[in-house]
Amino acid sequence: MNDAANDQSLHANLELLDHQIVTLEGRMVGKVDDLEIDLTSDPPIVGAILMGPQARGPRYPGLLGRFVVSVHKRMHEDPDPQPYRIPASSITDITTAVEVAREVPESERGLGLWVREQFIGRIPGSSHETE
Amino acid sequence: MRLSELLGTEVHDQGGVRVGRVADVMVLRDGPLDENGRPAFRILGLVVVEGRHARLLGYEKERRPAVFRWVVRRMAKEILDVPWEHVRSVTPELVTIGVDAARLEAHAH
Repeated sequence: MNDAANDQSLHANLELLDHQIVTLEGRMVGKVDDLEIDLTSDPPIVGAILMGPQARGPRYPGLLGRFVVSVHKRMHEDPDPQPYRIPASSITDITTAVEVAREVPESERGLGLWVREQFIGRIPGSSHETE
Repeated sequence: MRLSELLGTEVHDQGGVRVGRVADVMVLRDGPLDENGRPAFRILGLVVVEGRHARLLGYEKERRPAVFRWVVRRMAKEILDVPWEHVRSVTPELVTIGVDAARLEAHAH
């Protein structure tokens, strides 16, 4: 673990939010769409990284945010889908990316991949010609 | 609570005077240990920006060129640190702190 992850104070918004999440093997699995902060604990702590449309959607302004959350909810198996949580204690390094000691299921890999799977991938001709 | 709910929230001091908006949350990985012995990210305090642009750009400590610094300062005006021990209440609408705005120190990072 590097110093930035352990010894120095960090700006949660500037240095964590929207940053790429990578696994220990270097695989990109999504972005930090939001952070869960626990203000009731003593001391208050960052509880988890939140990923996916249910975390990213509410950050979009107005109708767009509600649209993203609503469409994802309608297409999800769970009637009340929640953001995917990665406990903040799983963070092993923070550079330009956030490295986590945890695998993320493919079904939970962020808004970008979900849009690609559910919409873009279904458009005829959207797959790469070598695939 | 989510971080995004806190960002942009108005901050008032104990006299009801507007201090600014929450631009960031400072954290340090020295909190309680989890079951694997890894420390939690403890919340140290809030970064509050007085100006219209309630977001840090990452260039606030750059001193040159002067024009660039002037533009950043115009957008942010005062950037203040609010240590967590001064925070009295937090809701998505309002953060109240138990200290006068005049006693807050400029953001040091």
